[in-house]
Amino acid sequence: MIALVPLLILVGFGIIALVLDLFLLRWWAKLSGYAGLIAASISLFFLFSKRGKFLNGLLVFDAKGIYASLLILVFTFLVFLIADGYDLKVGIVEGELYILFLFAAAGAVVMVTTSHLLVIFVGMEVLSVASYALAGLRKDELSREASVKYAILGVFSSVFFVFGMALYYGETGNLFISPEAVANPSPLMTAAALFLFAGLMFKASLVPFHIWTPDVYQGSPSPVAGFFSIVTKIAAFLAFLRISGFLVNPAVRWFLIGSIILTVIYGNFVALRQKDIKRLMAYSSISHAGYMAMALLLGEKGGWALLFYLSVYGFMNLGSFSVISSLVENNSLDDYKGLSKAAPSLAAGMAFFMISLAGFPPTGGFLAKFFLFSEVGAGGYWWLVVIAILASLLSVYYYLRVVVYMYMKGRVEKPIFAYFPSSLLAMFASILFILELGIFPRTLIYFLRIFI
Amino acid sequence: MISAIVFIPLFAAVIFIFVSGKNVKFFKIASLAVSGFVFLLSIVPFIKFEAANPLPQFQEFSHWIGFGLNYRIGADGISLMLLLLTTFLAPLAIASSWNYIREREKEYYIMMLLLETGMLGVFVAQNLFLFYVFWEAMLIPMYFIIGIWGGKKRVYATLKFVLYTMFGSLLMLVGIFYLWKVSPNHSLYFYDLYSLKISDSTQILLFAAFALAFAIKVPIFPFHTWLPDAHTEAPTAGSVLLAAVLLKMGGYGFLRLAIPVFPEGFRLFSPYLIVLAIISIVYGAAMAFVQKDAKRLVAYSSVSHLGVIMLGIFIFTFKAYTGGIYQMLNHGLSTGALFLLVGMVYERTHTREMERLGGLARPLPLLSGFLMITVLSSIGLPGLNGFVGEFLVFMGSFEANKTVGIFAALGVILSAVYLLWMFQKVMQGKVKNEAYMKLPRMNLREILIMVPIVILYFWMGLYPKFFISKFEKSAKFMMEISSKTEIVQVIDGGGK
Repeated sequence: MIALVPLLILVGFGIIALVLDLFLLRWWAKLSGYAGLIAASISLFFLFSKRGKFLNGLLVFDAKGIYASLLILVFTFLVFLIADGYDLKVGIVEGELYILFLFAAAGAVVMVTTSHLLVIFVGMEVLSVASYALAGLRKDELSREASVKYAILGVFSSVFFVFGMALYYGETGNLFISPEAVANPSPLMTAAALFLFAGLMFKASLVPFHIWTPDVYQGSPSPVAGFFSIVTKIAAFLAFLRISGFLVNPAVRWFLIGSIILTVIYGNFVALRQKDIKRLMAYSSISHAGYMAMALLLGEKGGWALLFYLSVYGFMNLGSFSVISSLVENNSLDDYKGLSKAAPSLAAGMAFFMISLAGFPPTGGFLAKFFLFSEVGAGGYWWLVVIAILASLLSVYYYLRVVVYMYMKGRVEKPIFAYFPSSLLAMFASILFILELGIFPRTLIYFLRIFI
Repeated sequence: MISAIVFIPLFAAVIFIFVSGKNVKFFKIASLAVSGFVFLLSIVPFIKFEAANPLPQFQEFSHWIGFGLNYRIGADGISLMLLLLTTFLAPLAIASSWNYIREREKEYYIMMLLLETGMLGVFVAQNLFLFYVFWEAMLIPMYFIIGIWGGKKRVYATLKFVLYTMFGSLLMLVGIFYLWKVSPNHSLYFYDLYSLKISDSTQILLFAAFALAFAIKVPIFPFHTWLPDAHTEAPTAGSVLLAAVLLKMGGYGFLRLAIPVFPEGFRLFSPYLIVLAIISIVYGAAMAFVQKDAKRLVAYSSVSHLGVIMLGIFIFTFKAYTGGIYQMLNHGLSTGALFLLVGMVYERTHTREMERLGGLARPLPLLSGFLMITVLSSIGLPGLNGFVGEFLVFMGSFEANKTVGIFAALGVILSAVYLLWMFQKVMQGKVKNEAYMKLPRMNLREILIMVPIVILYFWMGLYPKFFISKFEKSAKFMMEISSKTEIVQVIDGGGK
């Protein structure tokens, strides 16, 4: 039972918020959202001393799961801060934004704390259904299109996953991931693995299952796009990590490797030509998914590098989205011209996040890549590391291009932007965390390496 | 001690962030004061330095991230001289920008100070990871300096500069991953890496990766194409630091890392590298001949002169090696000064086209005198600093291989021709434009920038022993490490 506490808190506060919203107590609904996140995070700390399997093994609150859940809550909290202020500006007057975020976060927490396929699926659906609604919250064509596109393509991916589950059940007679079962290279098992992988690759936006990403990012409200770019990824990658035992099977391994190579090359190349900041961030998130997927090749051993990467990546990405939200859906790169003069702090923040995403030291982005690539290399995939690292050279170009627009191109009319206090808070917090993770990550690294 | 030298500029830059951008004067004076103070501070290790001890001194250590990714800095003779070169030039570069930079002064001086920290860190880092952190981190301020305050094609130039450098560095990074994983206790301390036993085939691969990174940075032909653009577009101070300090990092990387850690790799590649160095000498000179823009001419002369430095290191005889290091310092001074002077001319005439300049010696006698002496130093006139370094390199080259020596010497003759030719076009002849007769003379600030450099020309030319004796032992030691492995075992214990 105790394992259900964080989930119950999230869903409970979500329902409270729902009721409050009913009586138009918008502010209180929002507060209930914040409170839910904080309370759930605290409950995770208590769970840490009791970590293990719960509910007949359906929920696995091990160190990995708890850390990932904490990341999900922290990043959702940041998304809350980013959305606060932005929502009214674009006409989202109802509190449902926050309520949906809470439910989505609950789904994501379920996904990262189980190794039972059906439970993964349930978490995935809770996360997804909330996400489809979130994508369509802004009341215009683009947002609606994003929502529908995400929903239709998302259902496909769910179908893949369910089909994989069915095949797995047909072979083993249950839905628990067991090391013996996944190592079995029989054709049925291979097919099951491929379908399960395809379903998760969609969520993680790995090529060729990435097609939804740019459109959904572009159409969704900016804070929501930020949420998709990190929380969905954490959930998908943790689920991936739980079923990474399948990679013993060469067919599955090469399927993933092929996808990684395509992802890093495609994501980076296409990002080069983007004129819209959110599409650029979408392709950048595709290529980062490619780097992170490399850690899966190592199985459990790569877990700590993956989690460190996700921690840093979340702050970098949400930081950028805090700036993107402050420009209130003026998303063309041209809208960033002259930002460094009009809004120096926003421009400096954005430049910092871009530099971190590009992987320059002493930011966290560099260390994240350093650990991930070196682990993957030591696992025997030196050639893959060389491909990924050369592809990441392209990313330096397009990240710095954003900086070029902000700092090195003048323009006559003033850029449109708004200072949202809480969004600025999220930005500064992200900067601090990225520097912390880039310069003094010692404690976190020791924690991750000991427990994970 | 050294930590303070490295991080004071960073610390000052962080404070600058919180000062309002309207106090332009504050930023000018404070950044000059900070970098000047750092220079004074860096004289202390120079005095305390024990020249007889070839190992890094003033070591400081902290576990930092752990797993071998430690913070360890220190300076042996070679690092010390480059450290001093950087701290010496940084205040001059900052002072030279006082009038040149007229927008976003706050950001500019912050970037200059960040750049100084990055540059100093590269030379004193004793851990490969730390070295890489500084090596890359330094790109960011340079990217902004060229990109915001540069010339017309600045965006193209700065992106080209960053991408070229990154390309090499990323492959080096893969090499660092490998070393990190194979090194006992994951140690990335330089002196632990020297004693690593790596199979020949791996050494060749890794040497290629490291050499590429450093060759792009130097730059050696054919990796030089970023340099003329970056130099020409950068603001004066940017060009000065780029030429004087950043380019030295490539050479420093070769002698500190690529050669001693992978001696077998070096043995295989050295003939090709020597040929490339010679091509750089001749090609750089030939390109300098046809330039119309004075700054671009100086940029290509850099390619040529760096060829001499690299030749000295690659030839690998003691004289040439020492000469190469000494020449690094000389090139830093004289090319830095060339950029400063061309910048001063540009600030007055707003053109660098040599066709449109001419006869400037009449309105600007003092500037012309400084340019003359700098040109002479650059082409290696006996009595001035350039002569000593070049002479040592050529002596060393002749000892090893006569043909190489002849070709290299040829390059020097060429450099005498094009630099004097530039002087003639800019300073002598008829005054092309009547307005030039009214150009303001050098002001006190500009004179004060040039005087210390000129003093050093003579000091380093007439009494080179004072400087060479500081790094001679370290140079010899680095050469021994690179050729034998037994010696390394001895210092291994002491180094920890």
